[in-house]
Amino acid sequence: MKDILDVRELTKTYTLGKVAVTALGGVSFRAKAGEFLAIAGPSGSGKTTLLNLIGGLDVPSSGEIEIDGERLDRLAEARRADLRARKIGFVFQTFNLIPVLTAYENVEYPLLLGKVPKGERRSRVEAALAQVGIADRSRHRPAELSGGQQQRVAIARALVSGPALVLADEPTANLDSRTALEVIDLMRRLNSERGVTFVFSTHDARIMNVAGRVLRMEDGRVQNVLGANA
Amino acid sequence: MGIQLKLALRNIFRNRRRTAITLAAMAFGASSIILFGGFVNFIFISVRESTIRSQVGHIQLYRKGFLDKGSVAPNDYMIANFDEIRALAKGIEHVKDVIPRLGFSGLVSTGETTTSFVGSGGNPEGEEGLSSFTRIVEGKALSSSDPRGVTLGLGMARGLGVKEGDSLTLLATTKDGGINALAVKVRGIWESGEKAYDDRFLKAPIREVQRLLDNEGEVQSIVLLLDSTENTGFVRDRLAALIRDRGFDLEIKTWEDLALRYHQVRDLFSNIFNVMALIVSFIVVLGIANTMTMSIFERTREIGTVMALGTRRSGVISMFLLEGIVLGVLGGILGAVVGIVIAKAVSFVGIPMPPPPGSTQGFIAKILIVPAVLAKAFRLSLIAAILSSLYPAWRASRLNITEALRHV
Repeated sequence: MKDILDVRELTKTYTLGKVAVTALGGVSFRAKAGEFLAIAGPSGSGKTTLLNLIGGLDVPSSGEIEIDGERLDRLAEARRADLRARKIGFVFQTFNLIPVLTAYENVEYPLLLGKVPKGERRSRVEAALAQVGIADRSRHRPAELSGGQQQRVAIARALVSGPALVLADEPTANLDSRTALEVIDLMRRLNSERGVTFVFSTHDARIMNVAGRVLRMEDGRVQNVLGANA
Repeated sequence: MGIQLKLALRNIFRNRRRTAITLAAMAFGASSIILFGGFVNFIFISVRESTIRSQVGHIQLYRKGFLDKGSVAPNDYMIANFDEIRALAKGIEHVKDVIPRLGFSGLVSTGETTTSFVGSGGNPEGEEGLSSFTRIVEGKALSSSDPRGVTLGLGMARGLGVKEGDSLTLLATTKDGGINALAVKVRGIWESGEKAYDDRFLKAPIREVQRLLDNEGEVQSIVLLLDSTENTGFVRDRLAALIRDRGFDLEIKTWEDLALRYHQVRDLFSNIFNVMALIVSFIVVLGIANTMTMSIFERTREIGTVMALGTRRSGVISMFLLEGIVLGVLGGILGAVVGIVIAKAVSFVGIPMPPPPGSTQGFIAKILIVPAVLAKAFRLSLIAAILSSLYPAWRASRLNITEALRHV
């Protein structure tokens, strides 16, 4: 399998007042297409910072990020936005659906950004909603959905444009344990059946158990890598 | 419907109470502009019509040079062929009346009191249409059956202490420089509302004035009254062609050239209107900017989300600008409706106005519904909405995505 993600010597330093804080101190790793990669570690270990950089939401202080053969760290801001729309799906801890749009419209949104024609849009949105098992709720707005249902819609939204990579920051942290298990199950199934590449951060031991590999972080560095072809 | 418009509409109606307040502010602004603009236009038209009907008529004809030099040597610039011109002018569509004018001045005396006057000689019957803004308060209007009967302004009549039927003597300089006197009777006393006019002016049948000035058959100017002010341009063009074809030595002035006061009033009120519209727009801008800023603060995480999903910063700007535009359109329409309803209601009742400066009679004002003012109010609503969403939209687009996503 080819590399979907290649991160080399990534650093990120913030300035808080006059103090420079190192959030990432040189992280390197690769992820192959179809991987289910967990990034674990205590709060403040740099998980979210790493995901933000990989997702092009923030720019690294140094280092390189290559996604599906494209150098993300060299792109100007608008190009970075375009790359996010084309190649990266996001799943957030707080679901982050757009409240004024229905489930269907939320999932449709990335396709509208990608200017996908209407007929194709409809079939892809319906397929994505079916995949996450929420087709019957497509006309509901987020406020009318449970947390688990909202996260499913968010996963459908992340998948719908067929991204190279889905980034999920603590996707189960805001869910009760049963719902969390269901969401983990869903992500795992999408990974094994559809070959969707997931990279996610988590505290949740249950996700780590089903992950192909676990990148364990501490103080902005990768401590060790556990799992199959580590 | 595009996703942008869908988002704009749904976000606008998300917080109904706040939107209602914002729309109310915009409607208030737009309708104030419509009401004030409609009122100002009523004043414009009143002043225009009163100036035309009481003094200048729609169009005046003079011998070339009269306007420049006529005040010093009026007798050199007389029109001798009035009857011919009247016949020709009457043939033009929209012309209602063709009135000769012969201005003169001199002294008027009761025998005990003497004062100076400015007078005009007119065609008794034709002068009627032109004087529709002067009101006879005592006696009757000029009549050709009473060649020696003159009418005076109320102020002059009071100054001289005369009433209907009293005798007066008019003294004036003739064409050749001699002094001539004419014995007349007060036939009527009128009031125009213009104090300066009422205190100094008298009217006399033109033939008697011609006798007094010893210039039989000659007039100084010819005043045309039309069926409607809107036809002035049409008639002016016809007259100009006629004058050219016949080779008459005449020049044409329309009420726009002559009604200086109308232009002053118009400029003054236009400025007041513009200042008022500016202030109202400014308040509306502040109101919407506040709503927009609050709305953006509340939606910080959503903005972070759509940017994470790949919406460019320019897309965020257009999202909020579109929201502003939709608000502007809604507020503008609402304002126009409210403005029209109030204008109709107020006009139905009428606004009693005190006498304007230099005038002695009050009047009942209305609020006209003027398409140009409606368009202006709508345009200002839209501009205000766009202006006031510019900065919030820009701020939204500058949000740091990761911080916005963390925003609670």
